[in-house]
Amino acid sequence: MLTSRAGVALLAAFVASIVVAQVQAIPGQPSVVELLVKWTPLLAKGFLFNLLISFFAMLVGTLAGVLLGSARISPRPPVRGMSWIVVQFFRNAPWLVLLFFVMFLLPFEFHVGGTTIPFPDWIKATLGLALPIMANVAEILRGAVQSIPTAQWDAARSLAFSRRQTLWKIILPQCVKRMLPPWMNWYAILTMATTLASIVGVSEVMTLTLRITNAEGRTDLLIPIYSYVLLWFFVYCWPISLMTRRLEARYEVR
Amino acid sequence: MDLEAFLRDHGIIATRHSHPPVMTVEESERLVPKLPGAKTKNLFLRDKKGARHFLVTVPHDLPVDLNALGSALDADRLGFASLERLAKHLGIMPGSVSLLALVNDAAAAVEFVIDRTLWDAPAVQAHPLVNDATMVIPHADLERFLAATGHAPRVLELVRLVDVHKSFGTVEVLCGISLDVGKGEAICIIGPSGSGKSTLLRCINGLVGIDRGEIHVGPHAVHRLHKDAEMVALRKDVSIVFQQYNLFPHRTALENVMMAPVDVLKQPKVEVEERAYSLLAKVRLTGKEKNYPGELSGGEQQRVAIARALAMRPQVMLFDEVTAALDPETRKEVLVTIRQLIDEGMTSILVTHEMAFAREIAQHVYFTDQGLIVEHGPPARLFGDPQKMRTRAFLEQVL
Ligand SMILES: Nc1ncnc2c1ncn2[C@@H]1O[C@H](COP(=O)(O)OP(=O)(O)OP(=O)(O)O)[C@@H](O)[C@H]1O
Ligand SMILES: [Mg+2]
Repeated sequence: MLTSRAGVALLAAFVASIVVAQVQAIPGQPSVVELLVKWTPLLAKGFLFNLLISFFAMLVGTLAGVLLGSARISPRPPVRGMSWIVVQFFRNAPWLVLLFFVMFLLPFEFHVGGTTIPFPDWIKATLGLALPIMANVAEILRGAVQSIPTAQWDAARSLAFSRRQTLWKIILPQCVKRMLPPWMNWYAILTMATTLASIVGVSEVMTLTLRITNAEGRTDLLIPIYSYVLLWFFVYCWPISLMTRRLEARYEVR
Repeated sequence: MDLEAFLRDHGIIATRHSHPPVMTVEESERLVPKLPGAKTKNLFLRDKKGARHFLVTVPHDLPVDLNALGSALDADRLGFASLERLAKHLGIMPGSVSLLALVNDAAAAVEFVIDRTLWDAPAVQAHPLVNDATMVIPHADLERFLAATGHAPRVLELVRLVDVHKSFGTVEVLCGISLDVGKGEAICIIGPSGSGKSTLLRCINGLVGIDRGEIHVGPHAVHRLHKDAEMVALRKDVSIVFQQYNLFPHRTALENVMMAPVDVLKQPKVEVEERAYSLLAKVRLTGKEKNYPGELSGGEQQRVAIARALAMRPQVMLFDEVTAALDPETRKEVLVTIRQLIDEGMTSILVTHEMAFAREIAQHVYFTDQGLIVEHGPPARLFGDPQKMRTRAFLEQVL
């Protein structure tokens, strides 16, 4: 959970690291602050890339998760059983393992007819990250559907709604409110997890940070630049976390 | 009494076909859709002496005392199910062409008697089985024939339960329930908690499947429906109102009423909206159309639930202790609404603890205990002069 106290601590660490770096600065070299300012545009680009990956992974994961979640509550036992296995697998596998799994499983390009469609690493990483989201969204959906009183199903069935209609028109709309907080929570987790993509070679913000520190060759830059990036993630994810808790609180009151 | 003699005595001219035509199921199925006004209902009467079976097909809306007819003809009255079985056995489709058909006991031949209006239909005239010798009884005469049995007319049954059994695990909740509800009738089911009243209602609209017995609602043989898709047709004809209202909390009162007709019956939205407004007005909720269920009182919610059930234009309404969760004030509003519906001729089955209400509105009251009907009868008798000890004990407690 991201709290404002964590944010304050992070900010303090960042400022402290800069102060320490400034104090230890070797005269004649550009200061740490100057370097941070210089590299900010590139870091921002990398960060936006992380956000892009997070959007797509969330979109794909949510859509697939809704389908998988519907399978989890299917009246047919085989469908329920299969989807249970899928959910358990993707929920409990380490994200990084899933990421490598997808990276090596999928080709880097597709051949459709005569043309070659490239399949870049970042899309593969997005799909890899979407898998655990899918499994967790499925679980959220199942929990939410089961929290709706069976009387709602009875009422809908009595009005001649089919099972599918009942699910889509009556049950799921009531679930959205309950699903929103945990869903947003997973989005925040996902956003932070996008940095895993650097390990599989996607040029997102962590990869860029590493390259910058290598290029500058300055050890005193390491702590400030990493806490700088950390701060960005915090600034982005903290409001989401805050909103999640607000929604949760409001839901509890109701 | 001999049917032919009976017909003769009442001046009903019916000529006998010399070589009775036999119509197969396929033939009648082909013929029926072409007949205007072939909306009929079948009853099978069996001569007790075993001489003859009578297959009587009457229009849905014809008020007839079938029990009286049966006894006048010294015949057993058989329900739909047995009729269906017999008709199948004979290779005819009940409810097809005939207004009155005579079946001989050898089950070898069926003689159809066709209503004159149907008789004139080109489709009938062109049918190879129809010839000069086919017997005709005009509609008016049939009514006379039925009226001549001299008993007070009773409406046709719309709901019929025969020996219904239902267990949950090892617990038998319904242990052989049989009851009939005529079209336009209101019946009440009373009984102690846990006697299976709610389960019974849920069986009638197919929410709960039964283990044994038969449930017929109009043309639907509920006990034979299994898939959800098959249930849809039944549920268009039967609506239920629950104790806890069970409105859809994410939709306004108006939307609650409109949803099923629009999404399930695929009726045009504009037309449904108009109907929804007038239904909400009917349950005296004008001005509350745009409120969400959470913003309405219990009594108001329950009236929305009634409007929602009515929006399907059902043949039968089931009410499951609809006032039990309400305080005395709001209870009255809901009861007034239900009484109005019953007065308008809505066939209703009510499970209720409101004895005074049951006494006032019901044509027939059933007292159930431990999954059985202990006693039933007109309210005046059941409440005024109960025969069984168990009934008396229960009534003493609640009255
Ligand atoms: N789905 C179910 N599974 C198992 N047992 C059930 C189920 N539904 C009902 N029962 C049991 O069947 C019995 C009859 O229940 P039912 O609700 O029909 O009684 P009732 O006459 O409506 O009682 P009340 O007046 O309290 O509403 C009870 O013992 C109940 O526990
Ligand atoms: Mg009950």
